[in-house]
Formats: sequence, C-alpha cells, structure tokens
Amino acid sequence: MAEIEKILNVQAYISITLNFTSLDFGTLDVNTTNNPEPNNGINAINVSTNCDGRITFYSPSTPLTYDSYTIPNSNFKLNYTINTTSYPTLLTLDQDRVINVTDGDIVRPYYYLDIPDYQHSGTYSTTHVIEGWCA
Amino acid sequence: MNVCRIGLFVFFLFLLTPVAFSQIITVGIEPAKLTVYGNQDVTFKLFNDKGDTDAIYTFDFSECEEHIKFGDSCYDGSPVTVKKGTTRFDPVKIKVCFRPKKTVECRFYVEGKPVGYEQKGMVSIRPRIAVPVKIFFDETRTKSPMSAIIKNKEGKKETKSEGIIEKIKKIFIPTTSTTTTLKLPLKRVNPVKRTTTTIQKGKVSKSLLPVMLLMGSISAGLVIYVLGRYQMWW
Repeated sequence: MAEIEKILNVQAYISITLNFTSLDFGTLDVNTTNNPEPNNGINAINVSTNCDGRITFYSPSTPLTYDSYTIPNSNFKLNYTINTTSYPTLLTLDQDRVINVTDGDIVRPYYYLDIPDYQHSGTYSTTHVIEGWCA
Repeated sequence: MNVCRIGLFVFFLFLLTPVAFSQIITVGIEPAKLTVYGNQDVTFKLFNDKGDTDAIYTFDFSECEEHIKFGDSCYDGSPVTVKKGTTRFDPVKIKVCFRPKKTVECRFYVEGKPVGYEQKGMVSIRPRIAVPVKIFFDETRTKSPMSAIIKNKEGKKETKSEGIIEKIKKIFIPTTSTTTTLKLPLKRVNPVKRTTTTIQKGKVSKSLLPVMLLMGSISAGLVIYVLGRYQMWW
C-alpha cells in the first residue's frame, strides 16, 4: 500500500430525495389564511451526506402568478419537521430559508398559503427551488 | 364471473396507480464541494440511489463557466440521464475540466427531474444540489495535482487521482514540472551545504599578524607626529 494513502482526503457528497414534484393547494377562498397544502406531512426530503449539510428553501424568484395578478411570496409559508422534531414557527417565503441537516435526516416541509381579500380568481403558478449543499 | 373480473381489474388498477404517479428521484453528487488548484480535471459521481424513476440532471455552470472548458473529452454541459438505482459506488460519471482564469469562489448547480416530467400543480418543485468551488489560479501549473505519480514502498509507480489534492498541496507544490513525483517520506534530494564561520574573541590568525603590526606602526607614527605639532603650537 502506498504511504500516500495515509493522507488521502475523503470527498464530500450529498443527496436529496424528494417524493414530491409539485404542490397543489386546490381551490381556495379569498380572505383566508394558512391554507395547508393537502400533502403536508406526506411530502418528504431524505438527506444522505457525509458533510455539514444544509437545505435551502428558496423564495420563488417569481411569486404565484396568474395573468398579471400575483400572490406575494410573503403569503407563501412553511414550517417543517426533522425526523421527530417539529419546528412549528411559520416562515414566510419572501426570503430564502436555510436549515441544518445531517445524514439520514427526513425533512418534512409543511406549506401554507394566504389568499388576500379581493384576489382575482385564476390558476396561479410558480416555481420553488429546494437545494441541498455542503457548508 | 364478469363482476369478479371487474373487481380484480379495479383492485389491480388501485395497486398500480400509486406506482404510475410516483416520481421519486434522488439528486446526488460527489464531490459536493471542492477546491481546485490550477488546471484540473475532476470526475463527478452522479447517483439516483433512492429514486423509483430515472432522473435527468441538468447543470448550471453560469457562475463558474469562465473557468471551465467544455467538450473535447470534457463534459459538454448537456443533460445527463441518471438511472434509478445508481449509487455512489456505481455512479454515472462526468469529467469537468477546470481551467482557471483567476482565483475565485463560485457555485454550480445540479438540478434533477424525473424523466418525462410534466409540470403540474400550482407550485412546481425544482430539487437541486449546489456545489461550492474554490478555484485557485496557478499559471505555473501545467498538470493536475489530482493525477500524481506516487512511488510506493516497493518503488513501483502508482497513479492516484481525486481526493488527494488539498493535503498533497500542503506538502508539495510543484512549479513548472509537468509530472509530479512524490516519494514519501519526504527527503531533501540535494541538500545545500552551508559553511559557517565563527570568529572567537582574542584569537587572531597568524596570516593577519604582519598587517596588524604595520597598521599599529602607522598609527603610532601618526600619534607622535600630531603630539609634536601640538607641542610646537603651545
């Protein structure tokens, strides 16, 4: 065995496995708050890593939009559990949210949406990036 | 009988429905953070070990693209299909060729989506991995430190790649050579012999004695002359 192997680095890896590809809040009434996404509690992110892991829930670069109407990102919220620990504080997605994760963690994000009064009816859509990375 | 068949059909349909709509993928990469010294070709492993469907990975190198060479045996930036069941130990590999223009820190992104994915629902989810890269520009380096030729104890040469970069860098920084040969334990190949001269008080070399006597005589003569002139003035 070459002596050099004594000083070899171990490379960092990370993977995230999502069992959901979209969120659908269904048909909601105006002037309602904290409408839960129907799959809350089912949606899960499995983390596999050997590094100081992070998951960032990004604020959508474009808010929920239908035609020229929008629902602001501050109305799009989440809280989460990591394994059996709950983090119930609702976090608005008007800014990126970063959480610490380790190998084997199962993160369950719970999404909620507020619909303002007088919001124009329509099918609103946006994109939400969930990012794993090594700090 | 027909009712039984319909019942069975419905039963199997329900069994199959979750599978048909399930689109679980893993987005995984190794290394997930790295430091690059000079020109370096890095092999990245992509895996989809927990997915139940094949994934398509797309890469966003925009932050780092100035320092990456595309194509010509290096990764060309096109989407990569990562089949379900691929692991870190049996991955899809891509070779990214770093060609630094300057020292910089940047990130690139690997985004995964299921093969045949069609956007549905209000909020489409985009899972991705960010890979932070520290790039050090080294204009003297002509060969990657990741492919170092290492002599083992038996004196046979081995080629080592990946993962040895940082610590080797601390020990041995090649400058202009195109091949890096490491021989451990490190020894000084051509030690520079240094001579030290020590002069001890009270000891004067014999070769300096006549000079010292001459200097002393001249000094004494000068003193006598000056004293004589001084006495005349008084």
